[in-house]
Parts: sequence; C-alpha cells; structure tokens
Amino acid sequence: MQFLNPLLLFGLAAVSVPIIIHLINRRKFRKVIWAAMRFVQLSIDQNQRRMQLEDLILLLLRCALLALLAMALARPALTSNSTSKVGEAGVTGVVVLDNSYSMGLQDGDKTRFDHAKDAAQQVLQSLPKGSAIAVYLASDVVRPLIEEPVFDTEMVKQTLAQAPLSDRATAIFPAVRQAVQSMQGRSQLRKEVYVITDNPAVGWEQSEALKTFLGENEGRVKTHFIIVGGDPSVNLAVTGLEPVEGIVPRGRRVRFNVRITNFSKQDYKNAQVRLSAGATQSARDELTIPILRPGEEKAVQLFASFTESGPQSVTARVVQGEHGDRLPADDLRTLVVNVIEEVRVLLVNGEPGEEPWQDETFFLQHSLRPVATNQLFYVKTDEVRASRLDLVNLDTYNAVALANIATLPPLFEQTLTNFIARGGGMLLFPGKNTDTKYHNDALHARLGLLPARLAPAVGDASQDEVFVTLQSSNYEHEVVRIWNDLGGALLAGERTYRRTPLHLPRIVATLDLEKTADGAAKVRGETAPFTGWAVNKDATDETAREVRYINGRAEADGAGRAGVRVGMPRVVLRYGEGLHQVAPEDSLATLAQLYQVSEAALREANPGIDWAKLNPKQRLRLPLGQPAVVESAWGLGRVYQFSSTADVDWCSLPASPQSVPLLQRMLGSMLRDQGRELNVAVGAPLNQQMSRLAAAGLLAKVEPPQSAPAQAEDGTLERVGGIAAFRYDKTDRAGVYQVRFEYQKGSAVEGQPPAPLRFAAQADTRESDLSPMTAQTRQGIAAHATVHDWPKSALADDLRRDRVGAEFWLPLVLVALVLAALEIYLAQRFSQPK
Amino acid sequence: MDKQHIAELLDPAAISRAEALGFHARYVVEGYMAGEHKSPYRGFAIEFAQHREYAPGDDTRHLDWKVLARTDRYFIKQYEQETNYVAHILLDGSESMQYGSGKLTKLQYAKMMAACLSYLILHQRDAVALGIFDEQMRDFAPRSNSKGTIHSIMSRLAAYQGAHRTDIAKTLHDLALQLRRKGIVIIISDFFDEEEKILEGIRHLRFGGHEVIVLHTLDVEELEFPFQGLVEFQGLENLPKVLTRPREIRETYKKVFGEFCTKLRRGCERNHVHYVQVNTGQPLAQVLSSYLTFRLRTAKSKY
Repeated sequence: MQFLNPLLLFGLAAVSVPIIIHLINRRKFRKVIWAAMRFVQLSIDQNQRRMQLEDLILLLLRCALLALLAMALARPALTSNSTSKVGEAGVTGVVVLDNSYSMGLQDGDKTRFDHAKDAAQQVLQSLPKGSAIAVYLASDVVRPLIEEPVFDTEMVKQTLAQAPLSDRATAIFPAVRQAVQSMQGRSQLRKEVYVITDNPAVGWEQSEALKTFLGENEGRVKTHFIIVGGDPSVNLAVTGLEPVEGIVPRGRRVRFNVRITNFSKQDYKNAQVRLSAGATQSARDELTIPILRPGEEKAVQLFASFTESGPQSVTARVVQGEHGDRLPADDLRTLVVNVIEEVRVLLVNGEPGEEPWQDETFFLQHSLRPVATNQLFYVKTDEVRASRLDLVNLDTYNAVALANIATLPPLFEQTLTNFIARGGGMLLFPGKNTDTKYHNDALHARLGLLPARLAPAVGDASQDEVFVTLQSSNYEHEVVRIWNDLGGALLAGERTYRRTPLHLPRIVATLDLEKTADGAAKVRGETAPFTGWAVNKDATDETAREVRYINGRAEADGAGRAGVRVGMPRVVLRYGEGLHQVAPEDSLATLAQLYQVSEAALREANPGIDWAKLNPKQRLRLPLGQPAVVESAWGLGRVYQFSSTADVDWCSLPASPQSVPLLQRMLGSMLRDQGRELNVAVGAPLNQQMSRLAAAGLLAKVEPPQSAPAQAEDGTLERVGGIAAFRYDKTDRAGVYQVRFEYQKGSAVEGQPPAPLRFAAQADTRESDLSPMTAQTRQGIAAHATVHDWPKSALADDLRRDRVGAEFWLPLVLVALVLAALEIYLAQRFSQPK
Repeated sequence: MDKQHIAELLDPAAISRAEALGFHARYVVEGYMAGEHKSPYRGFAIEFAQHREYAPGDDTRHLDWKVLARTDRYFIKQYEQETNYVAHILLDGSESMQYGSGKLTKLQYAKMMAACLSYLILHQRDAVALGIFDEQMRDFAPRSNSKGTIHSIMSRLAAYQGAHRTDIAKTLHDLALQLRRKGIVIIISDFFDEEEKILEGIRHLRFGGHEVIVLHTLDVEELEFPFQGLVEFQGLENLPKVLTRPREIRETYKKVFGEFCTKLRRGCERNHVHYVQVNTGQPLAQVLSSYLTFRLRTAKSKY
C-alpha cells in the first residue's frame, strides 16, 4: 500500500485531539458544595464502570474518525490489486496523437490518422469514471490541444475528432518525454500516457534515449504505444525540387531538378513525373521514369516557364504509376521561386586584352550571358575597366564581378561596401595583377569583405601536365549541390594549373574553447589566444551559433565594420585530387601547410615515398580538400571568392559549360539574398523583412494551403529596431501560403498596400520512408512500456486489464461517516440521564 | 445569609395562616400544668365531644343519664380532652444543613420553621423546649410556656451556626432517656445519616409515648439533582470530593435518594410518626399550613 499524499499522514497526529480536548475539559468543571454526598457517591459507584466504558467507546470512536479522515486525505492506494472492489482510481493521462504526414497513409478506406482517432476513442472508452485526459498532437513539435488533463471526456472526444493532420515529420521521443514529464509531480495513482503513432523507423530514431527515459519512469507513469498501420506499402515521393540555374527569369523555359525516390520494397515502374508552374498550374512538363529500384532516388530535369514576375509557385508531382501510392502527402512538392525580369551584373576588367576574347572578363560575360550579343537575355552585363572604377555607380546593379584587380580606389571601396551591405553580390577572381597584400590587409582584414586570406600563387600555368582538379563528389554547398545529381565528373574534369590558395580562418567547436585568466578565449591545449570562428550547432540563439573571435575576444556583430554583420566563411567548392611537382625546398611540413591538408593524409596518398629525401621533379599525389571557391555573407549581401582566374589563364573552368550553371546559381543565391526567403521547411517560421511595413496599421492575412480565403489567418507584423518584419509560424502544412496585406480601417496610411506575398513550405522528406522500426527497437520499447497493434478489437479491454491499482479513500471516508453517525448517536444516548 | 436576623425567623405569612389552625397534640400528652394525674380524663380541660351508643363492656360511669332518662336509650358520653403539652423541637444544626440552592439554606429554613412552630405552640400556651444538635446536643432551651420565651428561642436560633457532622440517632436516644413526660417531639432535619439508626431513635421516642413529627427538610436541588456539565461535588461534613457528570447519574441519584426518603417515610409510618417532606423551595406558610391542616384532619378523625 502506498499513500499518494503521504505528507497528509501527519494528519494522524489529529488523533490526539479528542484526548487533548478530554484532558482540557477535565480541568474545566463547576464546583458545588454538596450535602447529599452519600447519594452522589452511591450513584457514581453504581454507574462508574458504565460511564468509563462509554467514555472509552466515545474516545476511541472520535480518535478512529480522525485517523480515518487523515488516512483518506493521504489517499491510500493499493498498486497490486487489479480487481479491487473498493473502488477504481481515475486515470490521469495524456493522449499523444501523431499527426505527422505519414499518418495520412491510406489504409483501406481510412487513413492511418483516422485509425489513430478510432484508437484514441477506444482509449477514452477504457477509462474509469473520474479520469482526466490531456491531448497532445505530436510531430517534430509537440502541440498541446488540451494542455492540462480535463474530466470532460466529451470535450476530449470532440477535440480528438477535430485534430488536424500536418505535413510535419515524426519525432516520438520529444512527445513522449513532454507527455511523461507533464504527468510527473502529479499525485494521482494512475498516470498513463497513450502514444498513438505509426511505425516508420525515422520517427523512432531516438529509441535508445526513449528506452532509457521510459525505464527511468516505468514505475511512475505507465506508457502505452498504440501502433497504427502494419507493413509499409508502396510509396513514391518527390524528395527534391529546385531550379538548376538558381535564377528564374520571366518568360524563359527554366530547368528544374526534380528528385523522385522510391521508398517501396519493390521496383516501381513507369512513374510519371509532372511539373507545373504558376498560379494556374497550366504549363506542364511531364516525364516518365521507366523504373525505380527499391530505395533508389532519381533526379530528372523538367522545364517550366513563368509569365509573371515576382514570387511564383512551381509544383512537382508524381502521378501514380501502375503500382499506386497510398501516401498522397509526399507525392507533390511545391516551391515558390522569385521570378525576375532581369539581373544586372557589372564586370570589372582588371586585365583588358587587345582582343575582346583576351579580356579578363570575356568568359565571365559569356557564362553569365550564354547567348548571342544581340539576343535578349535576363542577365545583362556591363563592363568597366579597373582604372575607371571611381566613376562607377553601383545602384542599378545586382552584382559586381572583380576579375584580376590589383587594388580598389578608396572611393570605390566605400561604394562597394555600401553596395554589398545593402544586399549586393560580389564575385572576386584573382590573377597575376592581384595585389595579395592589399587584398589581405584591406579587403580581408580591414573590411572583412573577403572570407579567406590569399596565399602567394602556386602552380605553373605555362605547362599542362601538373594541375589539380575540382572535387568530384560530396557537394555540400547549395550552389553546387546540384552536381550531386548532374554527375560530379562534369566539374571534376576541369583543371587548375595555378591558383592562389585560400586560407580560411580557423573554425573550431565552441566546446573546444576555454577561457584564460584574463578572459580571452583559447583552444584547449594551446597557449595563443584564439582567432577564427567558433561553431555551436546546439545554440538556440542564431547569433550564438557562429561567433567570430579575434585575439581571444568574441567579436560583436559588425564591430569595426560599420554595423555590418559578417557571416562565417563557407567552402563552396574544393579541389579534388591533384599532382604536385616537388621543388627543392619542399618538405612534408611545408607541403601540408601549403595545401592545407594533414601530413598523415599526404603520407596516405603517397605510399612508398621517402619524405626525408624528396626527389625534385618527383610528382606527389595530393589528397586535396583545399578550397577552390569560398563565400560568406556580408551585411545583407554575399561574396564569392575564387582561388583561380576568371579567364583561362590559370584554369580551364571559365571555358567549361559547367561555369554557366555555376555562375548562374551563384547569381541566384545572391538574388535570393536580395529577394525574400520564399521557402521554409514545414514547421519553420517565415521571417520576412518588409520595408514598407514601417507604416502602422497594416494587417497581414495568410491563407494556408488548401484553404479558402475566408479561412485566412492573421500573420504577425512586428517592428524590431526600426525594421518591420512579417512573421508567420503556423506552417504545419506543405504547399503555398498566400499573404495579403491591407490597411486597417481608419488607418492614417493611404494608398496601395504592399504586393501580396507568396511562400511555400516543404515537408521533411525523411518522413516518406515508411520502413518500419526494427524488431529490436520494438522489443526495447516493449521492455518498459506496453505496445499494442491497431486495429485491435479488444484494445479497451486490454487497457482496462492492464490497469492496476485502486485508491480507497472513498471507503475510508464512508467508514468515517458511519463512525461519525455512530458517535453522534452514542454521545446522545450516553448522555441521557441514567 | 450566614447569620439570620432574629426578626426574619418569624414568617408573618406562615404565622398568620398557622395560627388559625393551631398545633394540637395527636396523642394524649401529659400536661405538666395539671399536676401529676395519672388519668388524662381527670385533667382540667375535659370537654364534651360526642355521644356513642352503649356497647356491652363500656364503663357505665360514662352513661349519659340525662339522655337515658329522656329517651330510654343508652348512650355513652364521650369527651375530648384538652391538655397542655411540651413540644420538643429538635433542630438538626449539622453542616449538611448548610446547603441551600436558593436564598435560604436548609438550616435557615429549618430555623424559620422552628421559630414559627415555637411561636405557634407558645401562643397556645403550651410549652416549648428547643434543642439544636449535630453529633450531640449543642444548645438547649428548657421548656417554657411563657410567651416571652419566644425571644430567647429566636435568639438561640439566630445565633447558632452549624459546623459538625450529624448523629441524629444518638441525640434521639439521649432525648428519649431524658424526657419523662409524654410530649411532642418535632425533629427538623435532612436526616443525612443512617436511616436505620434514625428510625431506631424515633422508635425509642415513640416507645416513651411521645408523639414524633419528622420534618424532613430538603433542598430542591437535592431532590431534583438538576446539574449539567462536569461538576465537582465537595462534600460537607468532611466527605471526599467527587468529579462527575451529574446528568449521567441523575436518574440513579433520584432513585437512590427516593429510596432513602421512602425508607424513612415507611419507617415513620410504621411507628405512627408523621413524616413531612419539606422542600425549602416552597414557601414556609404553605408547608406549615398544609401540614397543620392535615394534622387537624387526622387528629379529629382519630377520636
């Protein structure tokens, strides 16, 4: 037996109250001087035993009454007795309903989500009277529908019936943890958590943590998992959609890369993929994939064109092939792209040639504008010589490319930093004219414009035997990620003969830093103060994730750079394997430093080399990872820094067809910075800076996907530090969100409200993988919780049987009431004259 | 009211009502004023009472010759004799008589009763002797038929303060031995003593030919025992304290007390002694007049 309010057992001390009252009353009596003592004594003698007995009975009754009440308040409970007749304790529980999009899988005529709701109703039926239930919706976030357990089961039923499905992914553990923790500290006997979910392995990724957590709470909170849906069925999903070039101009056929994944266990034949663009979705491009192997992901290119500029939606869809598909949520993927009219790029020519094709910017111009000179194209380029930069006004340009520039005139320095801070893009190519010292001191160190420091150029451009290639796989940066699908060989074939190695600032994990006595940060095990970037991936505050340190001091945003925030440098493209012609002064250490690789990697790549006696003219294989292109954000703009030339003096890339999508995509990423964040992951908030929202009295109406204009919800407009922003965080559904702005009635502002906004949310593709959790995972969880499979006709009975324990405060109170009645009766009876 | 003023001892209401009724002897008493006659009929106060038809065995001396002569029928002449008598008023002055719930303690009430009776008797020119006792005779006023004696009696009464235990039986035995002439003995007491012994003493007096009147003086609370709550009874006459809830023993008390009174009454009745229970809660006038009325009635029916 246990007591649910054990502290109230101190109430047992109240048993002494009647005794104390009795003792106090014995001190309060009336004195009578009496003559007929003989008769009084005689009467007492005759009644003494009876009176003592009566007193004793009453005292015992009163003590027992108080003891019972104290015990009842302490809520005694039996945990072992499952078929207790003394009374069934109410359950306090949480129903955790998985509303991730895999629950939308059709299973017969119902979805898994419908089945889950049925299971939830069974759970409610199984509850004894006096139970209280809370309802949480769980996906990758936990959203309480009824946060605190309520006794109104009708309300719970209605809430469950109206619970919406989302397009979020599943994460079981956080939901279970939150539900179980909400039960902790409650004094009820029966605390139960019912998790109704499906079984895809992705949702159970933290099963070890879940197991440990369940083990820790096993005795206190009973957890039931009700698994809806059996074996995974055929599922084909659109797992990726992006424009290949990165720029989406109006009126042109734009190539989109669509990734289709077969999550089934068998081949999927003749899957038809369709791409439609614009609000009307009328323009279509279709393609049939003959066969997709189990687990295979295939990328196809489809074309779409847009008749209007501005944010436009494009949707890729797999039309069900011969195998069908029961999970419709991931059959389509919608993206909002910023359709532009034109992009203007200023090319700064640092080395004009006698012929146009000898110009430093010749290839650049043709890569950005790969059409005939007189043909209309959305990218417009202007060229200017470096000597005339003082006269340049950058206001009308979207980006500027600096090719082989020695130095920048001071006036243009100012113009350029203003331009980039406002959101302009910059491409910087070195060359033989490049003043390395100026670049490092002024552009890198002083202004912080360049993400990497330039080293003296290495390699020999006059020969064609020794070169390095670009990386052939594992493209991580968004600009080059598309070559994962296009095939790495396309880029890897390009040769670089000479280059200026880019030395990035050091990047360490925040955990590796420690403070010295004077408060400066240094890397553990080193003595010098740390300069570079510290990364903390777990930081919740965005600005704390990447912090720049200079001489051990964390640098405040934009310190010394006119209030401009500098982003951490990122490598866009690395050099792949290459060859190095050994020079007389070379050693293992100098080579490791030169190519920024570890000595061990060099040794591994060149087995059998005697590093102590390097032979000049010997060629070494380089396991290179040295950056070829790096970028960083600077203010609202973005800077791409190359390590080789813009023309073919040092490398072959500028003449390659691959430079077209590469530069286009770079341009696209700059434009996206200039434009708006139009695509978010499902569940992530949309933050949109709105210059015109500074005016008060503006309302934002957001129409979520698949909803009528009447169902529009209010978005939030906030002003932080003089910048107005539109914020919306209820992005639970995948698809296009339309935002309309209007002025409040009676607002002081007149005129046209800002143009409507459109953005899209994309679901996490991992959720499409329906392969069930392993038997091992299931066993591990079943060790600490009860796992039920739905459909199960006897779920309610099973839950009832499983429920043990009874509270018996009620019988105690009833006995106490009987005792109280008996006490009143006896006290009355005993005090009758006798 | 520990010390009663002399004047308060005589209750005018009681006197005025009792005076009319008088206090008559029920039995033949020996009037000391008549000298030492053996026969009461030779006393000086013989008064014709009634005629009765002659029955064989009657003393012919009492035939009414005049009636015989006139009617030729035999009638015996009956006389009612009046004599003076000595009333011994015995007042229990023990500590238990100090109890009183109302304005008067039992002792004060008893004193008033004694005073009124004394006045009444003296007023009839009968003699009164007053004895106040507890364990022994504490004060004794010798017999006197002088009306002025009332002052002496009242002074004694007023001056007396009881403070001792009771021994009624001893007092009665002593008195019975002392009294030579038949008279009336009026005992005013609560009789909180062993009833057997008391009755023994009464019998002794009766044996001496005295008429005995028992005025059992009790307080209303002693009769009703009306106490509530927890009460500590502190015994008079050095009895130990008792703490109890009277409500719970009330019925038993009343029963026990009732038995005591009944036993006393039965004992008195068996010895032809008038037993009068006097409730000090009742007015003295009412108590005296009702008893005297009763007495008058019974006295007449006796002869």
